[in-house]
Amino acid sequence: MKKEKKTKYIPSMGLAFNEENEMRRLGEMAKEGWIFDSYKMLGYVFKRGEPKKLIYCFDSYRLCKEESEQYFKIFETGGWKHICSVDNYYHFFCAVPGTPAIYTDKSSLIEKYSRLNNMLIKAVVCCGLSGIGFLGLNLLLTKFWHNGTALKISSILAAFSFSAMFAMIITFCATMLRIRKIKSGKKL
Amino acid sequence: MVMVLCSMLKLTKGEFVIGPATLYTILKKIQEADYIILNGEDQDRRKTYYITEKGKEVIVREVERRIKMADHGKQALYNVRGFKE
Repeated sequence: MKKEKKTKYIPSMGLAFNEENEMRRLGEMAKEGWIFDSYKMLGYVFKRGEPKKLIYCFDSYRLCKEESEQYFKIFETGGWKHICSVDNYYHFFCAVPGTPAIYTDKSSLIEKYSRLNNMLIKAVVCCGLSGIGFLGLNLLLTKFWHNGTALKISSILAAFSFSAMFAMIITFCATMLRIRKIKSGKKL
Repeated sequence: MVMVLCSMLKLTKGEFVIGPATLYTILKKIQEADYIILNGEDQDRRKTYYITEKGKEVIVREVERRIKMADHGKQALYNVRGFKE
């Protein structure tokens, strides 16, 4: 007899590009009895449970230990149950349909995405500098120490750094567009 | 913060709702601006804040500004022909 699956994994298409659709998808999965449990490996892990009508959202806020309790308590009071967090920065919540949104005014919603962008800028700079560093190392290895393995490793690391930097720049642009939409009052 | 949410709902008769993320963002901002100060935690580990003199001044100034705006709006409406209170 085939064993029924108890967990499911669905990769994320990118919260910066697809936030509303992804949160809607989580709700649809909950209706089918797949309850969002954790965010791992850039995707959603679901666990089998009773079908439920739930709505989902996520917030981005760098929390230190002292702030966490108060932060989650405020959300709980507002009807939003904390599901999981990623890097103490991305926090996922669920609530019953009809619960007021976690952001109820434009300026604080814009701040959410501005915080994200500030983090992305720092990450872009770090990845860019790492990439340049590895390229420099590549140059030195080519000139002074002809080690094929070391050259391959530094090339891979440089490529990885620049790819990550490029992905973050795209995310930054998507978030900027989102901020623009909010400011102009367009639907997200 | 539970008290803030409940008080606002009561005062505005459910008309004004503030989301938890908005509330937390505002709380941090007004704390950084020294409009409120953390008083401490009570036995139930609830954080309480008290408003500073600077915070009181800002609130009074803002409420007075909004009252003036509402008065100007009322005046404009009365001046519109055919409008009755």
